[in-house]
Amino acid sequence: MISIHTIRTVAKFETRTLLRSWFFRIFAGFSILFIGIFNVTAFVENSGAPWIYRALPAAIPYANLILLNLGQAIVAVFLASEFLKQDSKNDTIEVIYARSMTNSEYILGKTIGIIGVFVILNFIILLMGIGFSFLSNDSSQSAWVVFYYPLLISIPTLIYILGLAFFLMILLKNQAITFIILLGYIALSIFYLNTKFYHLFDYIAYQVPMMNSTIGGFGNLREVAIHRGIYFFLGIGFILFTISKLNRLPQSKKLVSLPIYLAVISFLIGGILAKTYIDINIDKQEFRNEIIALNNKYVSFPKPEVTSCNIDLTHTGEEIAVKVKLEICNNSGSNLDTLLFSLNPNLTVNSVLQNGRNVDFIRQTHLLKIIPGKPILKKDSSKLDIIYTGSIDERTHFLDLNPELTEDNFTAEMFRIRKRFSYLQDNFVCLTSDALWYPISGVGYSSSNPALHSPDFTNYTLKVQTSKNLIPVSQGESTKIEDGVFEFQPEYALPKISLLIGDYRKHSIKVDSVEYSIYSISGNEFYLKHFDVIQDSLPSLIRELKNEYETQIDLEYPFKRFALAEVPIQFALDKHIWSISSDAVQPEIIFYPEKGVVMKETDFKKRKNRFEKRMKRDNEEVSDEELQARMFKRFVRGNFMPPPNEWYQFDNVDKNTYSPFPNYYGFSTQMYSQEYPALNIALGVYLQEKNSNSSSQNRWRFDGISKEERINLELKKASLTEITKTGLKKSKDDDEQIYLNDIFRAKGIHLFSLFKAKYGEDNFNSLLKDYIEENRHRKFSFSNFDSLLLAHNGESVQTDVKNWYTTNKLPGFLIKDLETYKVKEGDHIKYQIRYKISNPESVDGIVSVSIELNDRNRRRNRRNPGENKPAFTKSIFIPANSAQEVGFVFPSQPGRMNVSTHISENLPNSLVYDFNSFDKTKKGSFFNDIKDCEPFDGILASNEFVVDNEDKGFEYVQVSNKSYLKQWIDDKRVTEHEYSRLRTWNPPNEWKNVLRSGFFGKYVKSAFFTKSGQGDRSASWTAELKNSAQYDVYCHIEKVEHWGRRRGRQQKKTDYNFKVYHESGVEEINKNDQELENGWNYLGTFFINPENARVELTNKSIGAFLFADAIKWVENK
Amino acid sequence: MQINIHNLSKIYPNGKKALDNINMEIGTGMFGLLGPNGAGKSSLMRILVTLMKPTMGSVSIDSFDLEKNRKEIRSILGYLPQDFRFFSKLKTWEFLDYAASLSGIRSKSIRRDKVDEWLDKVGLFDVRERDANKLSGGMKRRLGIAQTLIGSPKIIVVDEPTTGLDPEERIRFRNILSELSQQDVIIILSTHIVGDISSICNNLALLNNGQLAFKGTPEALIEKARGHVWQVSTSGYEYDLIKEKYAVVSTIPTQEGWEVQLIGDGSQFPNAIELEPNLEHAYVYFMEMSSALI
Repeated sequence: MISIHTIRTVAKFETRTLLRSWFFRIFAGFSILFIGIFNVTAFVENSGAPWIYRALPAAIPYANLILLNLGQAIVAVFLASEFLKQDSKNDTIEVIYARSMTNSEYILGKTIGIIGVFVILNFIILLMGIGFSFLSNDSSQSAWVVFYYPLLISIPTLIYILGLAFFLMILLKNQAITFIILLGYIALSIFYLNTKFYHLFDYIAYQVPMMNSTIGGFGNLREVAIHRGIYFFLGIGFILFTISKLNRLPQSKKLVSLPIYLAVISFLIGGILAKTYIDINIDKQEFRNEIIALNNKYVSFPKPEVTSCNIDLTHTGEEIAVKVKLEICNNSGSNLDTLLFSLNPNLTVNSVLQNGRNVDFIRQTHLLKIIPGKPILKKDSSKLDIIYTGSIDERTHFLDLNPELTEDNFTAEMFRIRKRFSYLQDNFVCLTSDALWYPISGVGYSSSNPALHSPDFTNYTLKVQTSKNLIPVSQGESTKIEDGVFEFQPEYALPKISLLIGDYRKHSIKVDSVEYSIYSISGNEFYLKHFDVIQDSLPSLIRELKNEYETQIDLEYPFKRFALAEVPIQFALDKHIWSISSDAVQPEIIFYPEKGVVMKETDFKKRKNRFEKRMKRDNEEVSDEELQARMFKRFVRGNFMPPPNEWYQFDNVDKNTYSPFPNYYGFSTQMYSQEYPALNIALGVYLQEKNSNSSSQNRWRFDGISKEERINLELKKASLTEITKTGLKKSKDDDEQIYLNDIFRAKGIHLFSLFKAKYGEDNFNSLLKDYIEENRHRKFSFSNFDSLLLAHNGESVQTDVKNWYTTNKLPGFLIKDLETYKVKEGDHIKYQIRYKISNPESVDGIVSVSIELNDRNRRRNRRNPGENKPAFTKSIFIPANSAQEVGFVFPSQPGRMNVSTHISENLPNSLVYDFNSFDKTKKGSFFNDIKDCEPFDGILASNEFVVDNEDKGFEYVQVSNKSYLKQWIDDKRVTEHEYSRLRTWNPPNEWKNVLRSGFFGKYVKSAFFTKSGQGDRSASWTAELKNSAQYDVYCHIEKVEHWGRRRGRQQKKTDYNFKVYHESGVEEINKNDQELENGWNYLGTFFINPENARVELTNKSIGAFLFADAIKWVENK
Repeated sequence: MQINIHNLSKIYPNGKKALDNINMEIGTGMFGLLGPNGAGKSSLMRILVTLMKPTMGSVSIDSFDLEKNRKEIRSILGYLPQDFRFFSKLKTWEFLDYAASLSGIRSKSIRRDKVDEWLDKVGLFDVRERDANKLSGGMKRRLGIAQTLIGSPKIIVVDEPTTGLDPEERIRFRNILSELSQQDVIIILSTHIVGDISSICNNLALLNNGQLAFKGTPEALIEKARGHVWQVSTSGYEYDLIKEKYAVVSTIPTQEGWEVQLIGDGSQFPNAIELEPNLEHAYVYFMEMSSALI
């Protein structure tokens, strides 16, 4: 029998010893101090700490323990190995060993002693977190729930790492080696292993999603408990193994093998849990694959159209019982002998009636195949009653997302948060159409036609019966029949409906026949106090914002209500491939995350303080009402109608995540095409963005390659059809990842922009608008849309659309003969810009020109760069194999022109021209027009020969100064794109290809970039000249400003050392910064034979870095 | 209560034979284990306190077998190892409290009384709050004996307890032990200092090179040496010869040369006087004898 007394005794003295150890004291002291400061910072107003820390009661305690765990996981290793080392060194230990106790009692006592000390520290840190969290008035949950954290985070980690340390110490009998091995292991798991294999190796639990929601709880407690259980049991196994290996004679012969057996059992349990954990994740994918396979099988199966759907749902705990009455119509074009529906696989169908009579049905995973009494003939209608009960299997959600590109959890600040798609809990329900909680005709996502998504527009009614204290939220007019029983009647046919049930509090206001509501979970109405004085002005504020938005998109809100409804923070904000907004956007309702934590501008307290500070600084006096109005506008604009360059703090949120736009197009009407399903998103994106200035001039200047450019590279490799089928590869860098809907978006805007350019902006847009209004609350087919265009414009767009879908050819743009000069008109001076732009490729293209005026008095608005609109913008349509001459005239001097080439071969896709001077003055008339000119496919004269760094005549010698380790690591790194970032503050020790508008290139304006040195790296250009002759030799130079602090060499400006080969040898030419200018620079005239047409450049320079771009030989005739 | 040691041998993995077929019984009272360094005393003691397994043979304590009944045997054991210097970061009283608790005293108040009582007995009460690590060598020994005895063990094993102690501490230590030996306990005291045993042990064993050279009372040991202890007065030249041939117990310089006490047959010297042997003479005599045999 184990003696508790002995264990307690050993533990007590171990604890006492440890508490007196300076090592532990220093660690504990620093932990408390550091985490204390962190906590104070999170709560002090104006500290800049994100809202999430104060908003969610679990946030601070969770953060505290995660931070502490990281430290204690390392410190525990040292203490554990120290303890065994001391035992072997300490002679007094024999006195203890000679006492009557079992080895188990001794080791368990020691372990409990060590863990006890850490538990004390954990509780101090946890209580500190709870204290801070609940000090804040913004928290609204009982503190008890956070006591899960030490159990889930610290205890398993400590037991595991202590056990492992004991085990290694017993095995290796050397503290230093044990320590080194374990530190290596810890580093490996923190920096590499923890993200692999579903976070299986994350013993510190840094990546395990454990954020607790006040609404939905942990969201995945079972999975987390299994994960943590793995380490708990492995740790116990190691500890038991240590017992059996302790260098002390066992107390009793009988039980000598027991610890080994128990260790093996613990390892087995750990192993089984690990397998269960992996199985859960693999099953998830396999199950999804099974559903997708079935969808593929039935994607072309004729299906009935659901015209009406009457749902009677009873919510009881974790189940729903539903009676659905469907009215269906056979518009499939063939007779239907099987009616195919999708319904969540966890819902058991009890009976199906057709026109009041029982009919047979088959369930296959998520499919419900109803066999009608007799086939439903074309255009015939029928009524179905389906009765089912059960829970919801979340694996039916987002089948269209590539699991390699999508994680099942997300990060907000330092928190890992589990993605949840639906909830069916006692006190909270969240169901979207992806949950298949009501029967949906046909099948959903199919990998054989991925972009196909065309739900029926159905007249829904919903009756919900739930607990008396809960309120359901869904589309349509809500009527309360009695406590807990509500009915919803949408006025219009909808493509889908959603259902939320929770302890909601509703606040609403009616403005111009639209009801605006916010549904918040009781206790989470933190915003009320921040908007207490704008009740009266709210209608006008809403009207103003709505008008602002609708002016932008030129469409009118088609529903009678608009609501925000709170959902747990775990609610997934993923986007379907056919949508640019997240699933948080539902018809009439936008699901907002708990207390708006991942939204923009929800920390109203902070915003108010900032406004007040700014007002004080600007000596502005603003009433409370005005202040709150500003906050309200900021909130609405930031989330629902953001400017194109609004910055988002969290990776999973962007400007479209909460966009209400799908209500304008998508939920109210859709374009349908079996052949070109992506046309629907293409049209949607065009409608949304047709009036916005999406110029990329504000893009981060050090980016190697922008998202749009990466999309172009993808489109160059494969057509839309191919990309849709094969999907996109995972990018090494998460920031660089592009998704299918990014491609649809870019291609979509491009297609409709071409139509717009072709058919005239006003004409096309108003035609589109009218057509959409005409087809409100139903879908329309592409062929009908095409007929409309044919009728109005005299030509069909079928071929254009087909090309758009199938070609991987891109337009390419060349600009030449750029002139800038002044023109005198009477007493006025005007500024003329003119140039020729050609698209020699076989695909139509479009460019957007934006021009900034050189207005020195205009202060750059740092705070709101999005409002810093260019003075002039113009889209120019350039059909295939054609060119345009373009001229613009301005009353003041233009400073910069930016030509965005959108989808094209051009890299970078934004050509920037800075105009320093308009020296020349020309007489004559202005040219302020766009006219056809002779197309050109090059910008060189016939006697000019250029070797660019992209050409085959260019070579470079790559002598790398990288260490072997760095080289090895870099070799392992697959570079997704060949263009690197231009980091002038950290130039590379090798040649790297970088993009910049000022470099030379036909379409790709790039140059090789390297750190300057002593000439150990070189580049050469070899031309294939036809004649031996006198040549003028030029180098192409782009002066790039050094960015960052300048030290030593960085203070000096780059000079270049060229070697020009010619008939009589080599000429070394040095060109310093003063001699050089942007563009072509003359190096000299030489007699050059075809065999010695070569120029070399070394990296010897007084500057910090240099570029190898292009060399030009101009034959003197 | 009796300890029976039967055919006990211990061979270390490096081949060193620490104990060679030891057979003996140890009854209640003070039992001395004499022998030079490396004789096997510590090995025997470590086997007796269940810290080490013998290679062969068995040990039983009454009906308990050392191999099979470690639990029972450990519960009646008190052990003070040869080195007892390094402690964890515990105060003097805490260390004693730890030992008391491990010896099975569960009640906190009883433990507290016992700790105070023993601190008082060993003269450490005034330094009870001092870190055990910061005690002087003698104090540490006293703390050692206190922790050995605090659980009222029936078998007390003390290994070289007086090493490094000043005479006053040694006397104090001996007194504590002899007081204890009056009770129904077995005290095994190992030492290579004969003086420690002569005054307090009623039985002893002599170990040399892992073998039992003698077992019996101190008187019997002394008796064996009778006729083998001589005092010889000698000059310088002879002294060197004596030193080569005999074990010299003491050498006192005189006006003529030296007065030498030797072990062996000293009758051949003209001025030899046979001496009454004491335990130290007997110890040396036996060591010489057994070395000669080996």
